[in-house]
Amino acid sequence: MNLHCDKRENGDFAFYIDGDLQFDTADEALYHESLVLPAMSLAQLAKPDNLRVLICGGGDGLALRETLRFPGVVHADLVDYSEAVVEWGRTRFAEINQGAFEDSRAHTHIGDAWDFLADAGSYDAIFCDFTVPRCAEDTRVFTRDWYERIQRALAPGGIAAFNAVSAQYALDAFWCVEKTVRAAQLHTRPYRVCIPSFRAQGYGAWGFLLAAHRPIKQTALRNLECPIPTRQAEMSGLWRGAQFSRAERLRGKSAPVHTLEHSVLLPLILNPDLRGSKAQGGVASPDQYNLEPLVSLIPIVHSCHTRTMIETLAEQVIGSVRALDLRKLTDALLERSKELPGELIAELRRLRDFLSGIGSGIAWLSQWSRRLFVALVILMTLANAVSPDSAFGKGSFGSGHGGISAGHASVGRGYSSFSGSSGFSSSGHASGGSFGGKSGFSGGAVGRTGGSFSGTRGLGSSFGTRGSAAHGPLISRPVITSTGFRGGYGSGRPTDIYGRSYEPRTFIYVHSSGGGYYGQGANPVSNGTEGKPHQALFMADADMLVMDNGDILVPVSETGYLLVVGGTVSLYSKSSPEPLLALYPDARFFQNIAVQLEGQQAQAQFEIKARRDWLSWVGWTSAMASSVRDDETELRNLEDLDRRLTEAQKHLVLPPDDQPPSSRQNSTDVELFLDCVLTQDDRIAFRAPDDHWLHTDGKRLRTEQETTSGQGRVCPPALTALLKSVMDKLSKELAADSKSFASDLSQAQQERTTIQKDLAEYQRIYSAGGDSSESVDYGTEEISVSNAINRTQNDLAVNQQDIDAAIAGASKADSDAQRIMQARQTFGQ
Amino acid sequence: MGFLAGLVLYGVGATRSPYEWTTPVWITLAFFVVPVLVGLVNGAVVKLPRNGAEGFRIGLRSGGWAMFLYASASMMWAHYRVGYNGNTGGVLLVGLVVAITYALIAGVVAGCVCALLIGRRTKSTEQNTE
Repeated sequence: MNLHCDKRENGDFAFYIDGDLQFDTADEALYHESLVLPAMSLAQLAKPDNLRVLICGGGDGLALRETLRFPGVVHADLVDYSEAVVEWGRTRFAEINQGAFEDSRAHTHIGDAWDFLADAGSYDAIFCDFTVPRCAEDTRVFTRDWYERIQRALAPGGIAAFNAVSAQYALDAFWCVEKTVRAAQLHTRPYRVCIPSFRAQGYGAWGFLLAAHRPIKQTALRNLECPIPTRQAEMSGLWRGAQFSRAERLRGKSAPVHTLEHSVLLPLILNPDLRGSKAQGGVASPDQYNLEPLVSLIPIVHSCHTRTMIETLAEQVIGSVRALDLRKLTDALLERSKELPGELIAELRRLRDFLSGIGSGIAWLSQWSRRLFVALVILMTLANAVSPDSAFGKGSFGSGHGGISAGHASVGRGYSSFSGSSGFSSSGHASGGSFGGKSGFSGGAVGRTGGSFSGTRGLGSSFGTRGSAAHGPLISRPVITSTGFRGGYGSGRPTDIYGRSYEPRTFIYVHSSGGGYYGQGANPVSNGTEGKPHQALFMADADMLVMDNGDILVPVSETGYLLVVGGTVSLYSKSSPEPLLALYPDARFFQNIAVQLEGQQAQAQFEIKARRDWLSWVGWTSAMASSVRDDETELRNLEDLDRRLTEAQKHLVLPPDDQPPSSRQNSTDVELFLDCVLTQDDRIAFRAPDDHWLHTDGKRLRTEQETTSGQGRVCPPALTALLKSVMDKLSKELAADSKSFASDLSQAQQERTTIQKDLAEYQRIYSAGGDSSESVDYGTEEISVSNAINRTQNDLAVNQQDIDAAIAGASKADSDAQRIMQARQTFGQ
Repeated sequence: MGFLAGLVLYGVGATRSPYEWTTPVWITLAFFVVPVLVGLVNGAVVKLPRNGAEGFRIGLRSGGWAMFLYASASMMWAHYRVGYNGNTGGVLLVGLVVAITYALIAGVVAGCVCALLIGRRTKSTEQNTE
């Protein structure tokens, strides 16, 4: 590790580790306050006193200094593997870290933070202040496994803050870190800050992450009140750095998760533009020997490698090969043979004889050499994509760097207005659900989100993680990143297509013979067999399970589920193996399930083929290699899954798709789950297989005719209990939705005020100068004032749309929640 | 020349995985057809006089390296598509063992063919001289 201080005449200095800028005294407070103060302020809100703090990295003591400014901190551990950095922190940097290491609350540990966290206790605030990874080993403390350790060490109510990577020039890497933190079961709030010295180094806006067990609302940042004074950071404006445009967020959706097994972060950091250059480039025909596009595709895998270095190397090799004329070379050497030793002369003569004997010229050698070089470049490109660390040798880190220029203007507003023209749109909350449709399948309900399957709201995008499949450096990536198919699958633990295992889920049921309670004039239908326990084998989606017998099961609440099999849909309660009701088999519902199963099966087949190919090479070594045996197990389980998915699709039996539309098209209905709605008179209506509707008030269950006559049967207690649980679940989700909408509304309104202020400022500058080309600071870029005015006006329009959407959403959620609350009372406690 | 011929032929073979070729076909191609062709090319172009041992070494090197490169690249590709690499060291070791074993087999076949051809050419040259 190379440590270097670059001192300037005015006494300021910059600190570098292996050539990477760590801090510059001119603006280090901005960096460290931005990292530490938001998290500490939020942690102190939850627990004002007796705060325990852990700092991983940060051996310079500057983050430690910031944490110790909080009087509530009673204990602060700092763990850094570099004794040298900590030593500099104690000595050279003692003045700027205000002797933080001498504080009685500070406890310093030299060692691996990874190991330290294994035995660490619980902390109210955890900070990771690591250097940016420059080799594969460095990325270990950015993996999901690392963040899982953090998650375990974080006290309830605690908060963590991570120094990430550039959120401007390595946006994919930044989102990769963010997604990795989320994969460790932590809620995140990403934000970015412009550090002038970082900017001068070409790092761009710097990214940070807040993480906690609970969601961190943007309003928490907006309303952040730091109990201690700041020197450079402007806490009141920090929330603007947490604004990301829709385009940026979309890039985040496709970011992969970085794990020990599936290391993806380093290529993203080192090749921020590789995807773009691939799109523009294209490989020329090898016959033309145009290697430039090919060379440009070689990913950089080491911080000591640069694009220029690769291109220069390639040019030199190509030039050497083209210019090579061994015959002339030997002739020239022999002309001066008197100056050479006798043995060498003899050797050169042999070489000349050899060259004259192998053909009329050596043009073919040059030609074939170039072709060989093309082949080698292709091989290296491929090898580099497969195993970056093996393809290029690692050089030692250089320490060369340019000194940064003095003068750090515009510290104050550096981090504001990152959002760009579309950056004010509020987050798309409450969307998602099994198939992401906002309208549901029944057509009877209006605006229910994700109600199609289960009435589950806000579960997130069911297919969201598939996005990572398109994120490989060169080709589409496999999706299995966990070991579920090597162990959990088939042993009672449902596994998803990514190989993640979940808690065992067992359901006891008998298949419906088409009726259920109130079906075909029969009372609770029994086919005369005891209910059999069936285990969930595969989790096709958060709301869809494939059972060990190929049945499809869609949970609707904690106690109820839909069984979808043989072209029928039946509602079951966990308390009874008998179906409670048969429901209308909506063709779109079935089709969507079929599409989902087909997609997952296609992915499983891709994985199977990949493993078969691999094992066709190495299968015979299974007796001596455990990893190959694991691969074989995984292949067997995937083949089993493929069979089960085929079976499940056969079991499904799609209904004809020329079904009549639902007879209920009432916009006041609130959808609970598939073809089950809460009507305006606080009853719940089900669409029966014969396309008629059954109604219940929790006491009686009636057909539409019986509703007018007042007759009907007693509603089974299990059905009433199930409906109550569905309503309870929905109430909670609606309350969360409402809160989220209110938060969005508040945020959008505050944004509006800020945007209006910005607009007024731009207009003032415009009218004062009269020069429309005058540059103004529009967040991360300087643009002309007229352009800034246009963009800001556009921001205002988008903001208004957000406000309208939030108002409409909140109104609908509140109205639905009220309706459900009333119905819940009707159904009794 | 033999090495280049081997690379080209194995390159054609690499369009499908061993699994897709089916095992008997792949074994025939990888350990017999291509090495024999490599040996023949080497045996045909190499300058005489050479003895059988030299011919065997030439064939072994050409066929072996061609197979080694083919096997290594194919396995890297195959494992990349598998994705999960919890035991990188183990996987690398397995890959190396497989590539070396296959390279030895292909190299020995190519070497034998090359040595035989050189022997025949030598014999034929001697007869012509006589």
